[in-house]
Amino acid sequence: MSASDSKLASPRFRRSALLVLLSQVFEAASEVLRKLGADATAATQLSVFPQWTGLSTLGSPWVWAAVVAALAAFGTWLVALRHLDLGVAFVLGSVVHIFVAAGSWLVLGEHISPIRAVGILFIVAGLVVVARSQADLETRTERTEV
Amino acid sequence: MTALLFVLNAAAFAAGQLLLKLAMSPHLLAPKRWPNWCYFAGGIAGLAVSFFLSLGLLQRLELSYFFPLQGANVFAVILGSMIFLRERPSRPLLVGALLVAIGIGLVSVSS
Repeated sequence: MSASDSKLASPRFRRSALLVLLSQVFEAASEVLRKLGADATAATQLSVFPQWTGLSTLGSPWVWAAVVAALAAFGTWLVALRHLDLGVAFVLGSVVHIFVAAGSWLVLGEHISPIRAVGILFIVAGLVVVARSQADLETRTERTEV
Repeated sequence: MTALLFVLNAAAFAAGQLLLKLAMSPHLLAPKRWPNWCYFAGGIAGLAVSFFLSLGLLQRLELSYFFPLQGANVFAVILGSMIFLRERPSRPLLVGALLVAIGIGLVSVSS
């Protein structure tokens, strides 16, 4: 077993990876809740602000629940980063696109067409490539500093 | 109008990220024009504007359509980093950006 394999198999890595996934579940929940709040306030003009500013959504409890979920995602993310490389965390975090698509379908009843699903997979692949290049850059920087 | 809001959202997000980067890396600006807290406050303001603009956009668009399109924010941050921070994008970064662009194109035509 190589050093990198043993690192991936360590309980600390698995725990941190699970925390990243949990943070992305919170993030996806936050997005779905924001959408529910946006829909709930789309037809009402209770605010003095134009609709496009998004400020009218502050009257919806869904949006405040979304803020709580976003804070939970942020806190969980920070705890996970204590024992995980940033690049690895970002690669794992790309799974949020899958979670949001699943939430859109299951909770909001949106139709995910095959072409949209393929597009989402391309975006995830691109973000993984970007995150990996960032991780390599960080590793090289750390070696130079040592 | 929706396209304009989308561009504004990406610009506010990128500005927020760049200003926070400047606040956390004071050596990037020498001499600094403003105190560090100004960059930090500007970064938070940029992200707040992006947050509310995205809520406004969600009132018009499906979540499964809008959320993947936010991958375009990567381009805005890369462009801003090149212009304002003099960063040079690596080849993997450009390949990743190309994949994201293809994905965004596919999601766009799926509406």
